[in-house]
Amino acid sequence: MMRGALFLAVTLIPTTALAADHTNLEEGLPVEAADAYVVGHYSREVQALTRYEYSRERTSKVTLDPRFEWGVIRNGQVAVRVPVVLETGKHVDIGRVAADALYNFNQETLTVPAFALGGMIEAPTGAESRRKGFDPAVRLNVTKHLPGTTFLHALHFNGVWQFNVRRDEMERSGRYRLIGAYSFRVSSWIMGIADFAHEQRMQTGKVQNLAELGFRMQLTPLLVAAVGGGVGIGADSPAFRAAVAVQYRPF
Amino acid sequence: MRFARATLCFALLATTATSACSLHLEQRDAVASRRRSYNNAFFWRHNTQFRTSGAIHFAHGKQHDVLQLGTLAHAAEIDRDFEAECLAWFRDPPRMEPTMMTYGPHVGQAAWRLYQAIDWTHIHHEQTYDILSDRDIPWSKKAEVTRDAVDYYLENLPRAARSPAPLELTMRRAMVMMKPYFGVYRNNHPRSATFFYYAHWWHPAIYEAQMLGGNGSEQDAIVDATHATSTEVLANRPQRMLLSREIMPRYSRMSPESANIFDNLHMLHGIAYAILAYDGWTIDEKRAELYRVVEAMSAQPGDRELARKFAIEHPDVDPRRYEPWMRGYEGPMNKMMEEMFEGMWPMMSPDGSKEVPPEVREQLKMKLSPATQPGELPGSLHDAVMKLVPNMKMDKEGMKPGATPKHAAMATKEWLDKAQGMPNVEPFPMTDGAAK
Repeated sequence: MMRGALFLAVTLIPTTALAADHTNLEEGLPVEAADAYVVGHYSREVQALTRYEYSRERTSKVTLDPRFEWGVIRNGQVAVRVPVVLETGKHVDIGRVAADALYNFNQETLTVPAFALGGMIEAPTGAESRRKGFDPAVRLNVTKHLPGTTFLHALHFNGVWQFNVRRDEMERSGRYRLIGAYSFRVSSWIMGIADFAHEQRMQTGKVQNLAELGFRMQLTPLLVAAVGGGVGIGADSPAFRAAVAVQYRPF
Repeated sequence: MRFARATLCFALLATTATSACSLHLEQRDAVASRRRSYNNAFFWRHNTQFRTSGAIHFAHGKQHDVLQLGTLAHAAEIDRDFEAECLAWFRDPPRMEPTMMTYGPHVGQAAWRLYQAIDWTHIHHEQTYDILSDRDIPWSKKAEVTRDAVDYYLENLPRAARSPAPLELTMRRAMVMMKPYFGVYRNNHPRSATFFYYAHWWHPAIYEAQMLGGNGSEQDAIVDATHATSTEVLANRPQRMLLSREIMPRYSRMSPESANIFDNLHMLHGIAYAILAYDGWTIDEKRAELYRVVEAMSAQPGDRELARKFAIEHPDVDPRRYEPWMRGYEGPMNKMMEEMFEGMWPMMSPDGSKEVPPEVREQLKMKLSPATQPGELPGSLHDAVMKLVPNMKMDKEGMKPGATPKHAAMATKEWLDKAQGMPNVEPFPMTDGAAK
């Protein structure tokens, strides 16, 4: 627990300069839900997420998740992430390294939502690298703002299917994750997001539910900070989770 | 696997449904702002002014939805409440500059390309303020760095970028004077319209304050003093849209492209508000007309070569002073509109006469002024002129949403011919340490 808290503190110190647009929802920054929009073409963004999770078994897990995101084409972005995980009773470990891409098909209209399709591949590292494979995933993001009002309120849906390429005996062949979210403008520089994430774990028979609330704040024209937290619902879910993150366009 | 199949089916169904219903679909095509060392310089050096710009852009964004979601029958009340909200934001400006979508999400969903044009140009505003604010860019390099920002702006989103040519050209391309919405916003929302006349004094006045101040501390003092003039300008607002060449003649000489881009943006705001305030068209018809105007006033091949085709009447203006000539009806903006009308008149008059009748000219002046003037006929300029000259020859097709009036091509050609004989405005000497 102490080591987790220390990790959290250390991670927060250097992340004073980091982002882009607080209205563009990004996965994990600070909640699970993302919108169907991508960063602008040419945007190169550094993101740093620190997440603390406390389980029902009274163990702590801190994940430091640095990412690089690039608006590589019009309406399309790619990102890579290399998480570092510190968990009670375990050695510091590199988490599952991931590369993902997302393409937005349309700007929403008064009646038609925005759609984005994406793909991801997760690579096993550290302790699990010898026995696990590269697991690809596909995702669909949908976003619709509420028409007829000047309030910036929007509904979001994320659906993810991840394949389990080299499964263990007690694992599924693949798993899904479903997220519903509601985002709302708090002020010119703060957006709020409430979401509910339901997902299968790779272990057979286990599902996780999380209800989250987060805020994204534009601190300077290039820097966004995000804070959020959530509570787990159900026996296989974490007891609670908290996240802080920053995004910055360094070059 | 079942989930993957279901997801794919959902995406295919959604795509099929949207295309089958001929719904208006377009891609977002966002481009990131130019990332350079000067980014954030305006934010850090002139934070009060950065935030004021944010308040103005809040007003711009929200005005779209206020007009579209409101009705003309309640215009007086809507106008009063909205102006009060704008002034409250001016007094307590936001920490960040909101995009159009942030406070005008309804119209953003109906006509995305309008917002793309506005936001892209607001980014250009921010970047050009940054360049002048950044002490690390030598004064002699400001024009060059600004040119680089203009290049990026024009090259990366050409359909969204506003034209670097003078408004005299783009207004002829757009040719909005006889459209049924012309005058509707100024007539029915005069408090809001004149708040934006203030805003369009403020933006160029701040550039010119930076130009007067140079890189040193004098810039801070002159920018603050210019900003302080806001109280006087808001209390006694301009009665016309002020042009870049009037309020920031030095900046207009240094970067005529950028100056014209801002004029074209500011005029787009006014036209968009008139279209949205007009209640005779559906939202689809309004989008058709908005997109036509966005296109007509966009950067087009050859525009850049015309950037210096304007004259400066007050080259030594001090932005800290709110001069009497800034306040009234008379000025290049309305002169341009009157000249355009005079050019159209021979094609509209029943007998082909070239002279605009005095009573028609009088109505034109009233329609170009905010609020309803004593003796002003109700409705658009077209309605007023038709009442005075019932046999006027009208381009009925050209009045429809999304249609370009047939006068446009001829008026554009006439101005291009005239521009050939016009002298270019002189560049502004940008030598280190001598801004004036």
